[in-house]
Amino acid sequence: MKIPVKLNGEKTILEASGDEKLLSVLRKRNLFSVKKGCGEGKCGFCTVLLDGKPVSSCLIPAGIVRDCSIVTLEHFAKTQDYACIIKGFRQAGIHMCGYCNAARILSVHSILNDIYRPSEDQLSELAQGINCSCTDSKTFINGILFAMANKHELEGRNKNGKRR
Amino acid sequence: MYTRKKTGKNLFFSDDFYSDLRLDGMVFAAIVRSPVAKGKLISVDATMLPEGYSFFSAKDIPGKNSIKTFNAENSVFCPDYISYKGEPVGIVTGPDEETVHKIASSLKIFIDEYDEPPPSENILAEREITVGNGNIEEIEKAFEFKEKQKSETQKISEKDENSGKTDEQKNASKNSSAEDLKEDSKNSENSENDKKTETENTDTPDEEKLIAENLWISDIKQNFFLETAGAFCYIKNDMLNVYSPCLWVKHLRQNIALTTGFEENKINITGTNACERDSNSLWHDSVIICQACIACCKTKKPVMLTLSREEQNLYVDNSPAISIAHKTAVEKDGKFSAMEINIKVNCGAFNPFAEEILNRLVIACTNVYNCPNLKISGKIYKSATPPASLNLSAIDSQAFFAIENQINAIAEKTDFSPQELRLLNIAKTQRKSKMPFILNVENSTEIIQAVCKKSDFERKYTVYKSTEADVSENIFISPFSPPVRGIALSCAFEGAFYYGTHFVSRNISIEVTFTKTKKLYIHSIPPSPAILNVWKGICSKILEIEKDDILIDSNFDVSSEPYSPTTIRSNIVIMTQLLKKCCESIKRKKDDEFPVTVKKTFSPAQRKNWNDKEFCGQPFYSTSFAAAVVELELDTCTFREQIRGIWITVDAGKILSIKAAESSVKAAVQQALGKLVEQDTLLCPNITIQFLQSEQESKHIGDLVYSIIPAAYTSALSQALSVTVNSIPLKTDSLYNLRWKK
Repeated sequence: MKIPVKLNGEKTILEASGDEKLLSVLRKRNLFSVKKGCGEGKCGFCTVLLDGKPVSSCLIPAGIVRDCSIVTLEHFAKTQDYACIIKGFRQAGIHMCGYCNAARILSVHSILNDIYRPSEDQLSELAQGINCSCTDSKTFINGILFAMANKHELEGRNKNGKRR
Repeated sequence: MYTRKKTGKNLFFSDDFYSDLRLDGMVFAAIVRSPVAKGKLISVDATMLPEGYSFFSAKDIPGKNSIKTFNAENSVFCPDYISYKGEPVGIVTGPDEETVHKIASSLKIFIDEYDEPPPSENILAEREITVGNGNIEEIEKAFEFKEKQKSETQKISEKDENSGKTDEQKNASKNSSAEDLKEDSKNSENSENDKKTETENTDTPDEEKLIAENLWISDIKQNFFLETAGAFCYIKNDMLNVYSPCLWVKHLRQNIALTTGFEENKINITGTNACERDSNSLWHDSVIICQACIACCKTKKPVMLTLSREEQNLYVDNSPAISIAHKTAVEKDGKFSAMEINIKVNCGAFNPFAEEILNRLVIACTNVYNCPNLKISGKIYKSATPPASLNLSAIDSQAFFAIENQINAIAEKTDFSPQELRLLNIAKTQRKSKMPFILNVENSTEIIQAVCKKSDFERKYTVYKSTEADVSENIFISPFSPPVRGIALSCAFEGAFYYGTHFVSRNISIEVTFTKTKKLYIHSIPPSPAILNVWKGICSKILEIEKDDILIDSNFDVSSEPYSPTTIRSNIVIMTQLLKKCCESIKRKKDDEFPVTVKKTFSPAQRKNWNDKEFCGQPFYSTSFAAAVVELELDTCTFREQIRGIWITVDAGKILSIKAAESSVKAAVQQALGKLVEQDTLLCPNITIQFLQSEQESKHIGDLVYSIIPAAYTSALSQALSVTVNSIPLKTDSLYNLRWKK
């Protein structure tokens, strides 16, 4: 079937059967930031932004993404938000293995977008959702805090969230 | 300028993942596997394959149907007799990935099935060691067996012996390695309980002596969701190009040459991103990659072979199921007077590293403790299950799981705290120790004391132990009772570079070049970012140069490529020392001597400290030591545990980067916790790590965590539940079942 979507900012038609996993459809289009992980939505390695929300593409049938916006890490890497996150990760000394990059970066983007200053519990919950041992959760949380500071600085906000 | 000769380069490294590579006209491949465990392969019906799809089996192999690993040999595709369920019988190729996998699982395979295995040796490796008075009578005397007990024990051990042999017969239709061991455990637990009752009531000849007997089972599986094993390969200009995260390049190259008929220098290997992959897939990788290369030779097209997640779990990441029976006689002063340890390992249908697995388990099974009378016997059995792989860096963690749990179980039955019991029995000096292995862990006492102090272990242990009986009753009164708690201590050593390994026969060396422009080139396979950072730190300090001027040169030709697997992590310790010596040597040179190349080789003299024939001496190049305390809380309503805290103290010699060391230990804790409960990941918000630093050489610490966490976790659970938890991994309902069984 033909599924019209907005993929990485461009209107396009996905050709896939309705029950084919979005993961497989995207990889066929050479979008390799979407990695094959557990296939059960546990590890998050196949994360994409679906209408701005991070989802595990291994759980999404292609048939339900009609007219949705899909953003993969390849496209997100061109944004300023990405630069803030990567800078924050470097400041915290995080070396990502390459397989969990989409999971970490897109979920951090989402939480920083939704919550101005996430609580420790929210950050822990986020860290626990990523099933990769390349970075320990405390270092990862530090990376998010650095990324948050970078983002706030970029947006010109002060501690209270008000623009300077 | 740097002028290293760049001829005949056949080994490359890339940060890409092999599964992300694509070429025009490429085909996908999937393995066709035997649906039964035993039988004679008659044929595979591949006549109905759609257009563009092909099937290749043993008879299509251009070279030899054989993978050689040291002296062992196994086939790429089963030629005739099936030896386990899932054994590869062929490979399907075609343009669509999903279709290839569907075809591979639905092809008709004709097998003449039989139950009885062909007559063959069931034991892959065997070792027996006695210490002290050197004969079994003395050890039995130390246990003060009475005739009745003795005959009972003999019955049990006879049954145990048979269980290994009958596994082959029993397992013809069921996948059973772990289940059988668990079954054995249940039986032996029952007999153990019977015997304990006897021992405690009437049969103890000496009232002051305690005899503790337990069976500990560890069947931990890897729980990774990273890229599965596989390869991408293609032929161009008569060169076979292979992309794979293979960890043992030399083995791979030799076997590709053997199976495809390509000359070794006509094979280009690119080591792709191996993520956090450990050495568990050492020789399996070569088998899988050779299968892909054979398909590539036959189709003349680029081939991508990727194992499914299920295949990865069943055939690559399956560690051997290990059961270790401990029998310990403890004197009234808390000292061990005798130990009898029986190790049994089910290695599946085949394992080229069986002997090494057993040797490592035997060395580790007494940890750092001293015992005047000791008998260790170990056997590695073969069965009709998929060949168990090997994690060279963490194989001994199973032995620590057994001994540390055993000591905690003894402490529960005596007035000694786990800390006291350990300190009483640690071999104070190697001279006084009668143990055959010299481990050089001088700081063990300090480490244990430090972790106990940091975690307030003694106080908490006493409180939890004294309330154990009341709490145990409360669980039955109401599901809304307050949570119960447990705390446990565990310790282990980690040997860097085992002298008895197969890989020791070749020299380990490192070569560095220092140019006139003050750039340092380290000729090595790319190390991990953490190790590279450490290396840069050392070199920049000694040579007083910028870290950015230190570069890794991974240019290898066939003759100079590393013989050992690239991630035999223990080598890192040696490599780091050699690198340091190289830099010191360069520092002594004068400016006009540059550019200069220095090569340092690991001295064979150091290996003489280990006597492989007699199986005694100093088995490791260096030994680090760590202790852990795990405190947990058990919800009496849900019967799920919550880890309250983990404290770890490590003796790692000179720490080169505290931040990196702490981060790697924490990541390892996270990974270790993920393996303890099947289908679940335990979390710990409070992890405290302290390093006991010294001016000694830096030691390897990465895998220590896997040796100390499991035993501390199960012992803490045992205390909270008042039931001995003697096997891992647990299931989410294991604790409930254990408690109510009691």
